[in-house]
Amino acid sequence: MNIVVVLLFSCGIFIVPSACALFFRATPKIAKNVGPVSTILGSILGIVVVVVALCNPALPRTFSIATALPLLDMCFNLDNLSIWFLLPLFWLSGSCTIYGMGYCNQLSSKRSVFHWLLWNGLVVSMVGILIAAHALVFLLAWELMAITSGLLIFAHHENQKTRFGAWVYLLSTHVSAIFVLILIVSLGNDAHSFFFSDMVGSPEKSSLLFMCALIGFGVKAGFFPFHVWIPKTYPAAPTHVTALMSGITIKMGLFGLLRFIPLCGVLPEWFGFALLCIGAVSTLYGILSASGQTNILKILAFSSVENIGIITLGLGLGYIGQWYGNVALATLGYCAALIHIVNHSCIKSLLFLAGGTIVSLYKTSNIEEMGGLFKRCGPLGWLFCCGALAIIGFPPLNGFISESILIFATYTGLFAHPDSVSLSSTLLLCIIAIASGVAALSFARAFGCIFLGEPRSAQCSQVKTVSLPLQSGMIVLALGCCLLVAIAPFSIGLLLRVVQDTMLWEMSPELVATKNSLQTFVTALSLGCAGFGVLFLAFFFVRKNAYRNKVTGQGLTWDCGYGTPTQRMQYTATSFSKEIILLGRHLLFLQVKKTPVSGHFPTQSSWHQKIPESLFSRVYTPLVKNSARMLSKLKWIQDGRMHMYILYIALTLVALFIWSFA
Amino acid sequence: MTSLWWHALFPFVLAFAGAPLLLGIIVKTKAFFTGRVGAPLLQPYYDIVKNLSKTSIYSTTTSPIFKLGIVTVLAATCGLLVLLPVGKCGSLISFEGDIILFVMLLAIARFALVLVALDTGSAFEGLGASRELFFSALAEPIILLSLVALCKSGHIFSLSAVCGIHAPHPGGVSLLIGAALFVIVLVENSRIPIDDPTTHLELTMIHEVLILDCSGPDLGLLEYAASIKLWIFSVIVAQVLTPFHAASFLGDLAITLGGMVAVAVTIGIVESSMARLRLTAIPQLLLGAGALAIIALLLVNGAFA
Repeated sequence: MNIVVVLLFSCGIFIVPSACALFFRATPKIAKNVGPVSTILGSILGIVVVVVALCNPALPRTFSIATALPLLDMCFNLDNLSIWFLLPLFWLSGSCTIYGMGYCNQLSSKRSVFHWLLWNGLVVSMVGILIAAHALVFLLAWELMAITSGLLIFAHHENQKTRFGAWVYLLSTHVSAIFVLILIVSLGNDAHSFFFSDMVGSPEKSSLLFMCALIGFGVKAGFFPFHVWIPKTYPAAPTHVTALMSGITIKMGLFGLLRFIPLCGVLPEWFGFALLCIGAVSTLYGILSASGQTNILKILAFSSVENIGIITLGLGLGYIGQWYGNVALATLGYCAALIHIVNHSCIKSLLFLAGGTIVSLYKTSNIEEMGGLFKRCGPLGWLFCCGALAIIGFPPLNGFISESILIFATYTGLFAHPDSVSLSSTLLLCIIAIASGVAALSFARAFGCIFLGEPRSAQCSQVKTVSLPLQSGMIVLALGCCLLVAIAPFSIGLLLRVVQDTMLWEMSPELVATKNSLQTFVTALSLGCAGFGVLFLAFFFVRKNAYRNKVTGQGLTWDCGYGTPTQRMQYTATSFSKEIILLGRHLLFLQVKKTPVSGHFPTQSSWHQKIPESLFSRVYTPLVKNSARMLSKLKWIQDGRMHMYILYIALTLVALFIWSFA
Repeated sequence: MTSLWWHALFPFVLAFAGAPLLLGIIVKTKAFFTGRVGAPLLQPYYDIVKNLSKTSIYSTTTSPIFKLGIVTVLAATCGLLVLLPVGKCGSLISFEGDIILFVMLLAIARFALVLVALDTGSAFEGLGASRELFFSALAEPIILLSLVALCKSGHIFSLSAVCGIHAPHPGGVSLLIGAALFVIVLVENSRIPIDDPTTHLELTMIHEVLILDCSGPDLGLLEYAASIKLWIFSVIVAQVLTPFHAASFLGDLAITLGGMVAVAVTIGIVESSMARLRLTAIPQLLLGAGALAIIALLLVNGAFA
């Protein structure tokens, strides 16, 4: 049995029923539910297929369909790297769909049928990217992903902000596509073949290829300075679309990097350090910006930038290790990146689903107007808390495992030669530690302002509960977060195979030694998490025992004897992060408007801070506007008359005819 | 002499029994410098016992996070103690990379306490929580860098590098790391010049304001956890600054205990001889300590050789 055929069959389950639903006009109730049900079934089948493929490595994993088109062979290959990305893809598509079913109740039947068709198209296009063995198939799937996700963001196109967000997304995703196209055409031209297995970059072009890969895939992944679309797009899209995009779609950029790095041939040395710089800036900038935002969705969006930065740091370390022949550093760096990719998909989808639910409950995304949600909506509180703890990297959740491996990799980097590597590792260690501290601050701030204390506005006090499908979608993801800690020690074997296959390494004693030490390390961390759980339970009973036979009372929060405290006197989100924002003001180009306190009897004082998205407004917007102005001068070519277009085709053919003779 | 597993039980049990004593020593030292008799050495014990025997009043604002946060602080602090190596006694659990778990447990204890504070909805506690997290975001790299420098110097990626049993640390490294970690002791345990544990104004507190709304056994348990944290940090600083070892594990334990008393007395002297720093000056102090840690790491790397 060919495993890829079964996988393609599961893609069929995604697409075919939801396309057929377009014709079920008479029964809108059924038509509405065909799409999501087929997604869930397809995802379950997909997970089963991938697990079967893992258990039986002997099964054939390549499959090709001959087409009549020249150059285009529909050729697929399920290698370990694809498996590594397919698992979170199916897990996320399933759980986000469960959430989306609750969400789509409010859409009209026609819209929701289109929505699910696009949604399934997005999932299938990502499967296509992951299992493509032919560069043109990859490119087609890449375009399909760009278009379907762009259209999904347009779901509420009545809203101007949504249209703007979707437009920014479409623009950036096509910039990405242009560079990917250049990369693929250049590689394919040199190899005279578009099969990945034939491609080898020529050394004299390697810098160009790397720039293309970095920009093409970097825009998709969203690391600094290409992150600008993330904070514009995520708040604009429907919640479950954002969750899927932040969870796995942006990881396709990183997948692309991992897929193409080995194909680009001899690698320039600066590439690894470039990745490290990009990663370091993304990490610091992302988390500092997150700590200054008051829009919950923007907090999560900037936290994505931070986490992509962390993954990039792992890739950079791995790459540098590879360049200098340091197997331990290379392996640990790549492993940290790969594990964090999976962990972050699960965590960030959970957080975005929770964030979207919070916004829909409060009808605002400003955390300054929230508060006290925990007492009104406990389950949502626990789910958000789980996501927050995981994303900071606290035990006993999965973010801890990947951050620890990254620190382990950095520690290995301290021993590496030459000095530039050990020095950058020293700096990285500082950056990772600061980022983790600031992440704790921003998520304590978000959780505190949304869930703890008292409601800050009248609207908050009437918050209703969350419906079951919305909750269960999040619960599946939260379970994923816990499960990933438990299975981490068992996934090391696969992880090492992924790295080895992707980077085309030979098995060496050093690799085995690194694998063993990583295995011990991760097992110990997992057990440490379990031990922490045991201690927690133990002290839960210790505390309970301390209250045995005691009657506790209730009272007001200590108000310094004031007597009539109000909700407005609570500490605000802006003040909470003011110090850290002021410390990073030069990195953030912070704008502050203030009326300082003055005199013995100060009357008025105020503080308004804004973190401008300078890169967006100062660099990209003028760039886009100017190029639009210049390109509009070529508008006469596209004048809308059919016979002119036929003339263009004829002229092109004649030109090609002459050229083929010359 | 190789250490047996039950040797590690001695310092573990001792920490639970003796942690509040360090606070007593600090208070006595301060009393000595101001010419008073001061509270008895065992006063912290009396306070904890008194709190445990009372009952609590909870704010109507609080949610289950309040109680579970307190449990988390206790569990994480105990977890730190399990990982903490003491001289030749070693630690109860030690593995390659345990320093990461150690640093993360420290962070989670702090995070849980901050959530406890935010749960009360008090402006004072929000202020304290913000400061606590701000300073700790700056302190965390220093802890990590110092521990990593010790690991690198000891060629073992584990907290047991702190004791310097496998390979004694060079004097310069010990001194630099010791100084950096001493600043961390002051920050993490909210001592002068970062925070004043005896202040009476809510606006100037950091640690005390976080537990402002805790009462009865909750307060007692949190105070106890805080004293264990002080114990843990003084063990680390004492070991970094006393690189010599006795032949038997008990002798080794005695050396460490002596060092810890010295650390407590030093904290007392610092507290009696200077005032609290302005809040804006604290980041500078922390950056200074961070610079020391980085220099130590470069020294270990052989940068100045």
